[in-house]
Amino acid sequence: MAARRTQIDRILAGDGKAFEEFVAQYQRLVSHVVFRMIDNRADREDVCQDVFLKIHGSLSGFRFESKLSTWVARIAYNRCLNYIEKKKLPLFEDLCGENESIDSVAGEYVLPDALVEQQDLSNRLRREIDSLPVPFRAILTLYHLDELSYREISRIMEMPEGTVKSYLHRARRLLRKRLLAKYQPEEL
Amino acid sequence: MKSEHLTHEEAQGYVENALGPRQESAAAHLEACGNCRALVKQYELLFQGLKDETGFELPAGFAQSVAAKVAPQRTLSRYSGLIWSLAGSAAAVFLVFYFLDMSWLGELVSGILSGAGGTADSVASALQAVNAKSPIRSELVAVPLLILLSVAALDRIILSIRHSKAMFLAL
Ligand SMILES: [Zn+2]
Repeated sequence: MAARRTQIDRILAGDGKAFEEFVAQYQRLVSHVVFRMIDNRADREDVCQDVFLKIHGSLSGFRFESKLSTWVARIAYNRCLNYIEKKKLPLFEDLCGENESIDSVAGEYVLPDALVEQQDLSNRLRREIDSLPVPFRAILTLYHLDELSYREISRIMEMPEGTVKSYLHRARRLLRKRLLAKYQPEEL
Repeated sequence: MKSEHLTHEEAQGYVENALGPRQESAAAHLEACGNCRALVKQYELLFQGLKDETGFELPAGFAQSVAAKVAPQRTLSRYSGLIWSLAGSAAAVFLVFYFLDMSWLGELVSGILSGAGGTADSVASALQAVNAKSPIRSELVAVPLLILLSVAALDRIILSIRHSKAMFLAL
């Protein structure tokens, strides 16, 4: 904590090197949120930059009441929401017919070994994740990639922990179903 | 021993070892049930895929370029207002001198100086004398200069307010 304070004090005093270190520390987290929430590739880097400029401008308001990473991710999340709102993009696509029906019984076909081919899986996975509603995507990433807790995610996204949990379950369930549908033996 | 099939939520929880007391009975059920084993395996693969995801890389030198964007802004914001208002005023004065015959201004100054220590009357009479000689009335010069100066000052005030507001609205 003391080291964090020193780093923030240095940044507030105008130390460019300290801010560069800060950006390097958090660019992974910020890019996860931004790349996941912003579909337009051309805008992603700009939004990441915008997030860090915003952080720089509001660092003096950070009160050390939450973890710095939570605060950083929250700014990133909010900036992405602003972007989505400005572009008039939908936050929740229609998920009709995606719910309980098809996959109520445990899987009858096993995901084939081909899944182990990492490149293939990650490409398909990314495509399927990108087709999910934006909040689902954000939760998947913050939880699995950044290994944040339900509590931290609930603070970042300003929603109850219970909602985070249920969105996460639904997102994974949808992903499994959609991946499975594309891996049925006749399609391979 | 519970031998019901695992729900999707339970299968996901099982992979994360987060079922609590149900973890053990689920394990026992999995021994016996191929369907549920398949389900758990699918979620295992999915979680692994989610954890190993790549493709979020920002270009090398990103941190440096962002830091560079911030550094000049900080120093500029402190001086740019002053620099611009000085340059603007200088330009305005230059233009006035360039386009108008300002020889009367010297007379005004010396008139005021000669009346230094005198009363307001002497200044007023000096102004009157100048107005009589000059092709234009001195107010016509003084008023635009005053307007320019106040616009520059207002500009600086607005800039500083916007700056502090931007800090304030950050979250
Ligand atoms: Zn079963």
